[in-house]
Amino acid sequence: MESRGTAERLVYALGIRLCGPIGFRPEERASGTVVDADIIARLAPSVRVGSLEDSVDYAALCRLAHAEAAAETELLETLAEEIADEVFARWPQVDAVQVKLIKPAAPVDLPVQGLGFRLTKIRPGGLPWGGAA
Amino acid sequence: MSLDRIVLAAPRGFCAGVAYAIEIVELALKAHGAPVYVRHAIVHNRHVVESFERQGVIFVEDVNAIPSGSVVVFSAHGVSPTVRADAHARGLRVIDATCPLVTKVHNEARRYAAAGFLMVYIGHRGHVEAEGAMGVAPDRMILVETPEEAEALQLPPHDRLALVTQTTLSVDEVNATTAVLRRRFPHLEQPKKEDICYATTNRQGAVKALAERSQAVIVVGDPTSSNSNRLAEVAEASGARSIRVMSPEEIPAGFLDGVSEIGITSGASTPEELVENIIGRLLETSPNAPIEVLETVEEKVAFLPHRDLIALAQAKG
Repeated sequence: MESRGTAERLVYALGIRLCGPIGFRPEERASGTVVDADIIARLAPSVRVGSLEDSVDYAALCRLAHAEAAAETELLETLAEEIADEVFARWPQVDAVQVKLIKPAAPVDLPVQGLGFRLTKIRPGGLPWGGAA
Repeated sequence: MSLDRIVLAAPRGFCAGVAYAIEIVELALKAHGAPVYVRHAIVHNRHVVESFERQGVIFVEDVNAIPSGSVVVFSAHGVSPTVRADAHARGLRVIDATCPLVTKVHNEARRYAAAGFLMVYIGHRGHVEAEGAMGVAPDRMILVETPEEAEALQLPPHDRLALVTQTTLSVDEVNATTAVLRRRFPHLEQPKKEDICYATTNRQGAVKALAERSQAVIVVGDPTSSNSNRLAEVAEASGARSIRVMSPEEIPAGFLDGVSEIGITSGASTPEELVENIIGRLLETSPNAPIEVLETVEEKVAFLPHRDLIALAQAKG
């Protein structure tokens, strides 16, 4: 039966614990910094529902973040861009991706739960984030 | 010859990528039993390789030499897409122990190639990591090893040019070559993030500090270990007499003549046991020499093997 209306299909990988040479301060890069990553990949409207080959491999999504976090990076913004670009390169069926990176133990002198950055990236011509539902 | 002091660099020895690769082979042995095949030396250290061989690991250079259906681990240095395809075609069960940073460099090269870039790869010709990375886009990557080669480089016609590097090179070495490339090719694009391994940088920083205070530095590492050879070069460039060895027997006669303080470090693929062997030999002739650690940074980076491999190994163990 043909579906009616619109749907937004999101693939989630939440709370991926990464530890890599990440941070503006040299000591953060030299020692390693813990970063928790959430990646949400939006499947393009043309993707066939229930098609295994059109889906996104959750494990590969996590491994991708693991690899990107292995490189020295000063800013979470840069890491988020790299993760998003790699998601797009790996899965053409993903038309938008959101990457949230949080440092749970950021070097600040106040008690905080975490400091971080969130990037939403949409392929040219894609609907705005949240605009497909 | 009697030493006044033995100084150990910290950090030294295993980096997160090497620890990750070794753990994966140990888990593969537990999960699947011997034989486990490993494509290339899992890390560039003969001691580690021989230890695994005794446990039933078979090291091969060509995956086509592996019986179909077998388990194969790809070494920390990474493999080209051709090797992956060959392994798949033979029906091998692949476990990937490629260092995540090398994987990131492959990903980067793939993206550059897809975007139409020509790439200059700074690396060591014939090194297995360089071969794997160059294999990602062989028709779009040109290897350059030295500033002199960069100076003489003639590029084919291209619109966009990018730089990719081997992860285990010396920062200074890469900077010198990059400077030439940027001067000659101002349109050269560099990755947003460093390709040089944090552990390589940390170990080089530590050996510099060591070389500045010690008259001589011993680097413990395999002759095929790129980062171990770079450590010896960095120590020498920082003013200390330097040598790379695997065992105490390789220390040449006279190396310690006139040395009161000796520094010791080790490459990212060197087990600590080999460092202990060197210390043991030095203490035979200098039993009262205190051992001091010169820590320049504390490393916390860790890479986690696949959870299903850990679970399978635990279930069998």
